[in-house]
Amino acid sequence: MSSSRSQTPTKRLLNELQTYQSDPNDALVELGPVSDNELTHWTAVMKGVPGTAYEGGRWKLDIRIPSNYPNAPPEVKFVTRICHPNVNFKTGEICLDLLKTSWSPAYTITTTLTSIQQLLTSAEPDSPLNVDIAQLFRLGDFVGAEALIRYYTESERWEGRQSV
Amino acid sequence: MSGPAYTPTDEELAHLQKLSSEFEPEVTGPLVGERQSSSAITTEYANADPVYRVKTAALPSKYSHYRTCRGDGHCGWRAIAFTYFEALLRLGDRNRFLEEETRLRSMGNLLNSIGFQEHLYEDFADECFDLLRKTESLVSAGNDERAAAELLASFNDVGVSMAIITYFKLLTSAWIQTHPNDFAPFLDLGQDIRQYCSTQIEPSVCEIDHVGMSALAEVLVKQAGFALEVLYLDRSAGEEINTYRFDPVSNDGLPLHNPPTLRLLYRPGHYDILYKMEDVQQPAIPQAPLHVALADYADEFVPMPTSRGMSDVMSLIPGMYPTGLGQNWPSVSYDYNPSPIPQPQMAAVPTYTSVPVPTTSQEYVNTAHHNVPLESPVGMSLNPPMTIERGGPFRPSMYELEPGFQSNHSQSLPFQTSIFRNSHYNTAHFLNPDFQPEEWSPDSEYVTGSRSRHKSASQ
Repeated sequence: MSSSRSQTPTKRLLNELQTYQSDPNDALVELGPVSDNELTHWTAVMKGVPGTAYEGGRWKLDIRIPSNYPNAPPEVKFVTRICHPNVNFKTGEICLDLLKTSWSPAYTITTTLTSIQQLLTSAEPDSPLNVDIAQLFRLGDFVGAEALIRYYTESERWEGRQSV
Repeated sequence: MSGPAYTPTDEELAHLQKLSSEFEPEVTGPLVGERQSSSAITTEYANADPVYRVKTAALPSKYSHYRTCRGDGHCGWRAIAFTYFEALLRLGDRNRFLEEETRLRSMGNLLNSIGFQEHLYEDFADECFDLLRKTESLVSAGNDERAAAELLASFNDVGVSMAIITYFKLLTSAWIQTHPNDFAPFLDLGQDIRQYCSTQIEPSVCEIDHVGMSALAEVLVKQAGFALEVLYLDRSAGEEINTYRFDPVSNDGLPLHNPPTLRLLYRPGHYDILYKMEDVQQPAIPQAPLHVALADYADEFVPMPTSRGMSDVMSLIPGMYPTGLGQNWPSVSYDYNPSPIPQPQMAAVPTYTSVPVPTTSQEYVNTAHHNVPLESPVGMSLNPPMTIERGGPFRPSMYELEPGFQSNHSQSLPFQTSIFRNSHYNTAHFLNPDFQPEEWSPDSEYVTGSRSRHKSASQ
């Protein structure tokens, strides 16, 4: 109609990509569109936070960007399985208010992924998507929980292109 | 429905819970609607709760028009943003558009200081500046109608509309965070300012709350020299819709006189836009000089604190506002304000009929040129303001405003003796300090004549 600047997220996404390339995110190994001709489908590889049970981990994430981005949040899912109270072990769905109700257009893909990394260390077992690990947390069995997380962090580690 | 023994399984409950939490009411209608007569609101509530009925019945007489906003969770933000542009348009001064753009641009520092990245908000800000420029160019070409149409079309474009709302949200958030002392006391106990802003102001889907509205009024509305008026239509006791105002102040802290006002109608959970008759008309006379708080430089504005409060009070009296365009005579009444606090007297107008009474040709919501401050003679505080019931566009003479002007000399004093009559105590005597020549009055002659005739008949 009158102006189309905000109608498609293309300009914004290119802008974000450029910013990421000049100022990479410490939480990530890589981030970018799956292919050059599909700008609304990104992928990322996230690092585990040192000093936590997720230390040394690598997880691949799938990012789908809706056409009304940035007015609506991107859909982010874990492709690599992760053992976390707020992440569905099978589907990779993430329970984070930032990805739903408290999304703001002032966030970007990278800041969103930083928040997801922070979620790893600040789990909320009271709204679980993974009941098994949440139950361990709720019972106070932190040794058992850590062991389980370390096991999956190691065994499910995304090797991706690095190992190829 | 199902038998009493039926208990839903956990899965069914989970499914129902999912449905209910994902439920979004189907919202229809334009993002910002066309302006229409506010009697539609009265009609809408005609069969509703009596409290609503009474409150809405008086509405059209004061607020002649309204405009709907789509209830999609952004209506409060959108209503303020839209009326802000519209207020600029109403002023019709192209410099004001430029001033506003400069002022808003100058707030980039505010956004940066909070940590918003320029490359993120500039898209939203540019959308706002584009619209300012577009309307400005149409206004300076003298094409106000097209400018209004452009404004409406832009706000009905989801992209533009959301970009401007987002920009204003970020400004609001930055304002709250840079003025924590003004807002922290109003947050929930223990709530952190930053956390509040990121959950209640910045999210793309969150409606404006009172704290947000005060902040937006500060950062956007008041600094532009506009006032914001919100009418709360709820089921609270009383016959009037509660009104809340955010008034701009000049640099010396005094309220601006008669600022352009953005008016909203709030019904629990939803905002619409209201207009008074004066907002709808094109300004025939150039407006009084208006002032922007662009920066903190001194302005030459001379505030008139007493008269502004008065005109507000007048506008609150039901039925005191013309209901049709045709009745809009130039004002023949004068607000007269003998004491600084006239409210108690004015408030004593408890009853009114629910049907708006066609008023006489008087307009109480006056603009500056209607407001004649009168010298205050002692003992004149009878019943302000005095209104002269008289048709036509003529100003009353100052003598007509004197209490008892017409009654004083139209009937001769019944106890007059010939000695008194010829003394200088008689006002008709040329030595009397209040000399007032006798006038022949057919009415009084007729009255005395009939009275004596009546007397003689009864005897």
